[in-house]
Amino acid sequence: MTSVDDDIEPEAVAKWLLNAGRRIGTPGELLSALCERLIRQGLPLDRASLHISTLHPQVRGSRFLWQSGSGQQAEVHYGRLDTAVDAAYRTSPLFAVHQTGRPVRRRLEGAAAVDFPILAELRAEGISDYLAVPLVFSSGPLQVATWSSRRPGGFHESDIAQIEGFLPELAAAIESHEQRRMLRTLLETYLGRQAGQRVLNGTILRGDGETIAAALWYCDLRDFTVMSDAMPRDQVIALLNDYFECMAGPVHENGGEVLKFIGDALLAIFPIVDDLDRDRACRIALAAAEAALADLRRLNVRRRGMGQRELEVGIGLHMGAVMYGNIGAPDRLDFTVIGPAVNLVTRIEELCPTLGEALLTSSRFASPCGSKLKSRGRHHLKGIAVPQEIFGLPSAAQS
Amino acid sequence: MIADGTRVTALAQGGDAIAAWLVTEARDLADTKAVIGGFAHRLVAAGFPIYRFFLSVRTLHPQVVAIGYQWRRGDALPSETPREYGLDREEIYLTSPIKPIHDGVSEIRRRLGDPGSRRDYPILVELEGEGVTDYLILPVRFSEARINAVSVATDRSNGFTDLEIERFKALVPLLALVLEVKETGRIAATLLDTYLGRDAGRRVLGGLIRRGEGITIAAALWYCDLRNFTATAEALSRTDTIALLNDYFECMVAPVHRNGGEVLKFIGDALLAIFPMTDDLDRDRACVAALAAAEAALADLDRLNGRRRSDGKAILEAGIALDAGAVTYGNIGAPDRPDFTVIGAAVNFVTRLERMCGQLGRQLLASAGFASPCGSKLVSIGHYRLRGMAQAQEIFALPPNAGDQVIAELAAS
Repeated sequence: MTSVDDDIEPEAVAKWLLNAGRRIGTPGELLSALCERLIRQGLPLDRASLHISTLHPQVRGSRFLWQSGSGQQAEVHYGRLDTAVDAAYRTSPLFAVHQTGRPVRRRLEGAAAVDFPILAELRAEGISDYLAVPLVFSSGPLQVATWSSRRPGGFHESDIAQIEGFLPELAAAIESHEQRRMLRTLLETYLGRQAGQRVLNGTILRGDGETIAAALWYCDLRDFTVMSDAMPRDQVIALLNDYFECMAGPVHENGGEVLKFIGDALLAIFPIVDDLDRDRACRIALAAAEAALADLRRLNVRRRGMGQRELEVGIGLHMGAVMYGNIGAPDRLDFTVIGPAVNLVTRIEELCPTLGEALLTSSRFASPCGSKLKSRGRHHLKGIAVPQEIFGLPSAAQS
Repeated sequence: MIADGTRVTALAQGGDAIAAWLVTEARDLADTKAVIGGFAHRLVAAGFPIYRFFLSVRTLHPQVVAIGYQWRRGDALPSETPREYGLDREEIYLTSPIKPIHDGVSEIRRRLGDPGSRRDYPILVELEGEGVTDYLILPVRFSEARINAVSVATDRSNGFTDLEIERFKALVPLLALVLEVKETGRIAATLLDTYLGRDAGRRVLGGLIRRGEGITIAAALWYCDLRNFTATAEALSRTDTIALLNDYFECMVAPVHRNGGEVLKFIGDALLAIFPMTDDLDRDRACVAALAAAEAALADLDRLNGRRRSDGKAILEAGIALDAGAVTYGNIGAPDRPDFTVIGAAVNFVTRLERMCGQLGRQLLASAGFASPCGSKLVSIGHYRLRGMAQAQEIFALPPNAGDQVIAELAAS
């Protein structure tokens, strides 16, 4: 007598997807765990993939791939503006499934011509049978799953029936993953990585928030308002996007977080973990600012080459404790930082054109950065009672 | 043979039509209410003697911590009761069977038809009064360890059968999966409404998320800020600063929303809002609505100042500028961190106009383009050169006593 493994019932795959399966960390891990179960049940599976479209600013969709032998493959993102990917997609069975809402099945044994280029590749790898099926989410476009076998003779009809049997459960489990991922992406996109995570963790009540220490960054474009008045709208958007890319890229690369865009201004923080971490946070903020100014110089070379006006930026840097949280009306909140330190960093930045500097810092910010920054004297700042000593880069470093 | 479509399920083949419905049609329903209504009806149709069905789901919302859905036999759809923050400290929650379920208890069953059964939660006594004989509450496990609760109650004299209980328990994981997708979608919509504004939030959820993607719309524009906020905040504790901003923003935001406007951005103590126009003929309505909102906001601020004065706090002075024009509304910023915002000459203009409020000692200023639809309500106060602009602009304001008059009327009402 052998005991009956409950895995071998087709219904068990559906139940597993709805219970344990859907709790698996990522769709890729879910797919490989599913494929391993199916193989244990005797399904002759050698390759399977999921193709999921996503709501993301840079990614149109993702592919999750599993292959017998090598197992789970890294997730592949399809870029939004990738024309090579576009062309490949239009000649793929995925496109056919999206267009018709019906499965595509092709037996690849023999020398007959294939109607999709990918199938010729798969045949060369020894695949004998290929099935692409729609996964129906509760809203939005169809998603696609593909299943391939190397077994001589391909899938049996009972194999196909088994695959079709768990598709609704697979779609439901993947949809639940993708919904949560979408929520996280949207919040991280529009609130920033840390702020988005905090909101997801339940920091959402008005007044909720915390006080954190951080190096603060505030920058804006000189004369942007006057410049933009005279420019066509598309050029204004292109200009802002180019400039924000120069600023936000180095901020993110150095572990900072963009908190807010305010017209042509940007507010970012480099959080300080503890007192011993102050110097590090200030140094990486300064490194980010220098990298941003270098990026802007490169942008200006391109702009000059196109006969466009060069952009001048001012970056203010400071360090202090800020309140990070929800401010606004009960049903319309803003997740942001406030506090005297935020006011001060904007006032320091406003001094940039007056002193003809691209980067100015407070003395609290300057001291951890050692000899790198030089005093520019004491200045009276709007709304700040006591004159502040201001620091800047040595003149050689700016040019 | 490949089936046409993907709706044949192993579970359907296995014979459980409700399970099959949950993984197929139920997922297409609009929201949790529709899923609960359909699920309860199918259970009753399948012979489950359900008298009451209840679901409690924890959510992420600025004002709501959980939602209770209650369905009674005969209802088409469940009722929906939002629970506010602080619920976890309230008697109604602390003495409910939902609390032990949240704390990790795997089920609670009370056979009220049996006189010896415990009636250890107030809801049981209440339900027994309605004729309930058997009650079962179970956890509904979402991903990432979030636990919600579902309960069923019957008024059949001998309660649920063991088979009914087993079948119901087997359906709960499927129900959880369907509900999690609905609730996650709802949370996404709520959070985008909360942090981006209603219209912007919906556009983003609809797919307008790529940088550079945007639309141009005509709107009445509102920009306001607090006078001397930086200096005021210097002298305040952080908590007081937050309380001040929240009080002030509440005065501004509520009238904007009430009059069909949308808050696009908070910028420190400033706020940018739009009142969209559907077409040229809609211009007058949008401007009149924006002006009504501004007058209501100033009246709210006066009331707030009355309270602040009696608390010995400094009076808040706001300036509101109003304009009408075309703005571009969309994603601008870094590739992975765009911002959903508005740009355009009209935005630049309205912020400059607002700066004149302090200079001219007015709470409300409007451009000529805004003032004309508002007819005699606004009066010209002359031509002024705004910072960064070559040409002098005609500026409009409320007649000197109009604001006082509104306040006097409100005080009298």
